[in-house]
Amino acid sequence: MEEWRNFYENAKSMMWSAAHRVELRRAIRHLRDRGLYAAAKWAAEQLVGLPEETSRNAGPPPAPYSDSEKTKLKRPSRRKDSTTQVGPGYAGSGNLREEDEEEDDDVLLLAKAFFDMREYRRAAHALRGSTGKKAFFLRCYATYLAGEKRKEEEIIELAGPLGRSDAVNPELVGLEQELFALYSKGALDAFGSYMYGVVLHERERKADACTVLCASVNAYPWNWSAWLELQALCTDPDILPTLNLNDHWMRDFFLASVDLDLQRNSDGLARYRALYALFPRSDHILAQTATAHYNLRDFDEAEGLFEELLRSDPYRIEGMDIYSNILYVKECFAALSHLAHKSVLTDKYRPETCCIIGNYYSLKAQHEKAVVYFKRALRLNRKYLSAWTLMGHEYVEMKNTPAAIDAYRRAVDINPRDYRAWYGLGQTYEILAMPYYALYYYRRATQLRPHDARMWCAMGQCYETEQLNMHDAAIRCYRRALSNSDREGIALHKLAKLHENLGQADQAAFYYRKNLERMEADQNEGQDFVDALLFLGNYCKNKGSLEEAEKFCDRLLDYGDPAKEDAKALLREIRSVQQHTANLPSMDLEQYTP
Amino acid sequence: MAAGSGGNSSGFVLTPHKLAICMLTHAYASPASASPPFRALPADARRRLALFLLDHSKACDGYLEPTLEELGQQLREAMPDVGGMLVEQLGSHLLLVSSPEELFQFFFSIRGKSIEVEGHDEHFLVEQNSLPGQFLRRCILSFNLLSFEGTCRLVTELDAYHRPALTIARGIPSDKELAVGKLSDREDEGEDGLEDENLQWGGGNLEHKLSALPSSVRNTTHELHELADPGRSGGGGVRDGGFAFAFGDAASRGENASKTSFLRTVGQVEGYLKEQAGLIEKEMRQVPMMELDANLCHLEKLAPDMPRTHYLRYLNCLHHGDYLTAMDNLHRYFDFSAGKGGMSSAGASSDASVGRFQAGLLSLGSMHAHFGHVNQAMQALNEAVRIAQQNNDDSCLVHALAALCHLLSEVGAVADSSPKNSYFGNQPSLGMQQQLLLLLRRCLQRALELKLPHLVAFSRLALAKFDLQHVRKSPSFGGLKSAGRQGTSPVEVCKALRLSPYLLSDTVSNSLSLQTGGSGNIATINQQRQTGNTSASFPAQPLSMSGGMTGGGGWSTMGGRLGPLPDSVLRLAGTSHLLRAASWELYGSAPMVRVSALVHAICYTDVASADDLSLSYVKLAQHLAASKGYSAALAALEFARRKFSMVAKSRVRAVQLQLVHDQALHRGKIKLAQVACGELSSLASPALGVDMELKTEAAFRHTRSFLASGHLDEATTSARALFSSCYKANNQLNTGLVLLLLADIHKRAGSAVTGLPYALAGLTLCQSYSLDLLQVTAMVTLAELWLDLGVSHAARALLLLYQCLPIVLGHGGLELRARTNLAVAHCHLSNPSFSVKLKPEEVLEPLHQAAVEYGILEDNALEGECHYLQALVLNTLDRKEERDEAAAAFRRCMVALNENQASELAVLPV
Repeated sequence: MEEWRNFYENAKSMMWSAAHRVELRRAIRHLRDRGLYAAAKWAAEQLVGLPEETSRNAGPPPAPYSDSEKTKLKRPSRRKDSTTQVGPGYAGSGNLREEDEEEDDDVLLLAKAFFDMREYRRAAHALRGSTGKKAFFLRCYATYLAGEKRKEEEIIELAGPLGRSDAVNPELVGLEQELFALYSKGALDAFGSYMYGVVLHERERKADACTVLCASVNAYPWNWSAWLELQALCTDPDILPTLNLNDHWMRDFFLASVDLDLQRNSDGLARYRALYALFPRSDHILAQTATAHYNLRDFDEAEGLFEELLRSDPYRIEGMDIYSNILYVKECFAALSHLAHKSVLTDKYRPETCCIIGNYYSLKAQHEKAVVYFKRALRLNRKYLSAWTLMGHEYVEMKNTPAAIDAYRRAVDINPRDYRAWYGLGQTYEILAMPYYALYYYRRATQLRPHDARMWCAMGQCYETEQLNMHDAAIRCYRRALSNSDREGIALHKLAKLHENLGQADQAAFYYRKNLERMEADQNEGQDFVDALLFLGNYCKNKGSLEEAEKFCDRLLDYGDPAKEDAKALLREIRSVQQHTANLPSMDLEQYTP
Repeated sequence: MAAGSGGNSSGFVLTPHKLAICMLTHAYASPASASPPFRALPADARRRLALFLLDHSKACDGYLEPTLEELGQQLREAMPDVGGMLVEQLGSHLLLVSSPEELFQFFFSIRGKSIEVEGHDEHFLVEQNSLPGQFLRRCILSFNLLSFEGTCRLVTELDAYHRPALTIARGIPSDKELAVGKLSDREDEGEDGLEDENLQWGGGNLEHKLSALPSSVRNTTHELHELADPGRSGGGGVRDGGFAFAFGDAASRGENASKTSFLRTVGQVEGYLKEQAGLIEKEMRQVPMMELDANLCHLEKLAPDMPRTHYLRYLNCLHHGDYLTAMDNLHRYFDFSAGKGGMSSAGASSDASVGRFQAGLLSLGSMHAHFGHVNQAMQALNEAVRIAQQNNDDSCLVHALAALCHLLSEVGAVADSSPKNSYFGNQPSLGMQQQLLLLLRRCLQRALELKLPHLVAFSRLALAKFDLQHVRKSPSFGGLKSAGRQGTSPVEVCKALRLSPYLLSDTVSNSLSLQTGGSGNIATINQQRQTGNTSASFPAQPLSMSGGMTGGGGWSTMGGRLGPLPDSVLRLAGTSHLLRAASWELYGSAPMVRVSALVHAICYTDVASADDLSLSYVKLAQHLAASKGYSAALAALEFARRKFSMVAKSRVRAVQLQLVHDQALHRGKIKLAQVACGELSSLASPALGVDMELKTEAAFRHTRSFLASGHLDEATTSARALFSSCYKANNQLNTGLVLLLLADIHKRAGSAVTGLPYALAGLTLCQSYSLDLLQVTAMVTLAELWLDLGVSHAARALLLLYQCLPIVLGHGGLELRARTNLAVAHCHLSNPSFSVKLKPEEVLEPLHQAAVEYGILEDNALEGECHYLQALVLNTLDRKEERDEAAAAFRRCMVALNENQASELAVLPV
């Protein structure tokens, strides 16, 4: 029975993957024909990510994802599949199928050649007379790209003392009108509406853009670029439920990606897990899973996944900046230098590469050089968020606070949901001894990551400063940090100290005990440990539980000088009290004996 | 533009508008040398043109440069006779420039000409060092710095610049241009037949086609376009392609109006921002929030490196009560400006390294104060003080201290009652008042050391205010500490008030010379001003009702052109007059109040903030009410209401409501009075600790309404509550008023004995605070109470009244005078030893006076009482005719009173 079910499941997944395979192969051709190379690349990545094509009932099913938490994924090597197999469940896109068969006319071929040579104007011009959806899309797309190119050039030309940045794609107005005319007639196909959506997005008509893009992905779900465009519009968690999306496996990719973008990492991880069952060999899923783990500060797991990713795709640069962040945090000098070296050899002028090098120099404490590379990354991509934030960190290290604030602020202005930059701003102002001013920034960061203990700790530290002296607020902040699994144990110690200073011995003892437990578990015995023991020793003595106090003091004797002396004094005190009390009960007994 | 990236830090970017001005200057300097020559102008037209050019080379109204249309409009307005002709010529000259080569030619031609001037009389105008001369030279320089792409761009922009104006300037009907478009379209169709489908590109390519068309076609479209440029058609194909793109670009720019916008230079844009900020500061702004916000958004897009736009947005939000946005913009401004600073104010480079974070804190503090967040404001200001000390930023320190002083004096009671009194942890035993005094002294000392005149003046004024309001041990009894009589010291107030204007006039002259000296640290001055203005409005606050600081920067004029100091200092000088008015009001002289307010209203109209100005108007109106009756005062207020914008209006409204309330009480319209009172209390902000004055006033009037309507129990309860709150807030002035009110209530209730202690307490209080007028009122009340105690006390009451008479007649308002007169008559009449027959005039004269005065006040009840008494007296004197007259008047009053009391109408003036 069990076997049969397994067989059935296998067969079903085989069928699914066969269907996916056919869909993807077709989609790649469609996308490539229209010059949508990024989407084609993505689709191809997923295509080889499908389980290996085997005969129906042979071979084990791919290992379930959940088992692979620690074990490195043993993935079958890729082989090029030459046979095409039309799955039974294929629900193709009818209107595109005829078009596939339609012979590309000569002009289209010429235009495509121009397009591939990046001569966009020429391509558009060559297509001016052609009818047909494919030609139309290619013409619009070429025009749009020509405008984009011009815009980039203009931005550099226009960068005056006032930093004019009003350069816009000059073709947008024309494209919008043309596309609108067709759209209102309902004559736009999926690609046409994708184009229209992009134009609308650039024209800041976001609601309309959402509608049009939804229509596009519903009509033709395999265009990952359209999904990405849609994701860029989902800046607010509230937008997502309003979208009208048909059920499709591409939608699951989209939702997972949006979850990651909105910092709902656990949800995103769950979705990727589900997708992994369908695409067990997909690098995209692997990279995104790693990113999610990184966002959850699960560095070991993320590192393992990235290593895995690099093993299968050694020349990959996408996402490697995150990997470098992990290596930075774990202070892996050699691995980071290796990664940097490899990416320089692969592609020197990628923002990610510059970022990796910057991270490397930062780890080597050569902050000036790091700044140079972050600046280069920003020149390659002005909106490269993490480079702004990382540059801010470097400036902080260099004690150049105004520059740091400027860099962080730019990151925040590009994406106000970047909690790292808000946090950095707060830290910088705290360095400047302006805790009250810093609070505003920490508050913003906390709003974005209400479940991040670090933010709460930072706020607590601000409230605690001697300038503000707002202990109540500080205690409340630390409590919040505690309830959000404060890993470093900062909050516990601070809470204990605060209560101790406020004379609330019971609470202080409670937190010291907890902290003690935590440190014992972590085998981390620093000054905090000594403080805790000393306080608890005193506390227990005052409470009268002398044996416990003695226990604490005994442990204290293991440590260095000042603590040792204190412990000795305390022990002496305890002994004398013990002797005193030892005498007392006997007297009592004498009295009460008749 | 390319010139900018070439390191042109002045922000001077060559734009079509500047080119047009160059051409006009050319037309002015040497009309004949231009090709084709400009027509020579008559002498007076030349002079006007010169003025026009001067104006335009330094204009800063608006941040965008005018379009050609607007320029033409302005030119026509400036010179109705020849303007049209000039515009036409300018248009044709601009048309001539259609390729980089022609631009080169033009600049080559003006290079030499800028010095040789044909008109001998005023050739200095285009001299090398004159303003237009400099302008020309900068244009030439920045043209020379342009890269080729930059030049191409300029040509394209020029095309977009004169395109929309073409139809108007040249008188070509628009459909003709359309026809041109059609024509070229048809040509396109001949070639490729696609353009129909996408008109946009057709428009874009139109230019391309035009330039490639044979010159004959172009001549049909623009007659003046006589150039046929052989070099272009023969020139490299690559270049031509480049043009095609550029022109396509230009066409879409032409359609999209916002795309044709060219920013003025950095200095001019900053000037614009300062002007707007000044307008907001003065609260004279009529533009609604959204409009300015849209402007600023646009500006931000065009010039993202101008952090000051954020500041202006902050101000805008602040004044419209948008807390969150204001907060956001404030932080953004200081985040950005701390990093650079070098750009916005050239002299501040030394400042930039330190950062201006303390200024940020200072602004944050004043913002919190504005919104009534006392604790947060305290935190921010204390931190500002600390950081300023740490960074040795003395001027910021003083400003922060001043702001703290203001905050303490404003909301002392609230902060006192809150647990957050630990900011001055080292001296917790000190009361808020002492802290304030200490702070004020510290502030004054610092300001004196640092020679910051407006802060010296501010602290002096604040000290004066403090002396005005608070009891201190009189210095004359210094030896006997415990026995020392307590009281305020009017002499010191007067001294401080007298001192400040002298100091101010000194600084005005000083700062003027300083300005001509061309000091570099504009930034610090700006910063001072920024907070100087904040503090400038401080002293007026306690008198005023709006209860908010105007928080933050004011640049009312372009810093470089007009000295930045005199304005704020003058404003303070004006404020000192207002404070003088307040002191006179307290110390009891209505005419002197009027004089001081009048001085302020007349002499400082142009510099004073709307806040101060409305205050002086209000004071004048109140004086009118006290001396000429309510209708006159209400008419005056109506005038003031029309003059001021929204924010200042609320104060005018408050006073209007007070007057309406007074009037209604006198007339006996209880309902109206209650409505007015309710409206008044709704004007106050619901936040704790804000608008305290207004709240107290409303509560006070509420009690009076109860009293007038005969609800004595309620009146007593609310008066007691008011008394305790005033006492807690250390608001002695109002405490005195409330005591007298309580005495009145008891008198009304017929138990003079219980009223006496209140009156006596009020009297003592007034004496110790030197509140002469209030003291006199207390004495009159006392006399009335004595009178109520029985006829035997009439002589004593009369004595009291005679004591007050000099002040009452000299300085008192209508009501007090009427009341005193009536009381005097009552005393005489109830005194058994007084005989009416012997000295009739001693009774009749005061009665007559009182009747007249009550008549003006429209108080029918009391006027009727006067007439009734008159009639009685005249009856005993057997003067029948006069008696009948008085009786008739009495009846008239009673009828009117009944009517008023019966009226349920309660319509407030809008």
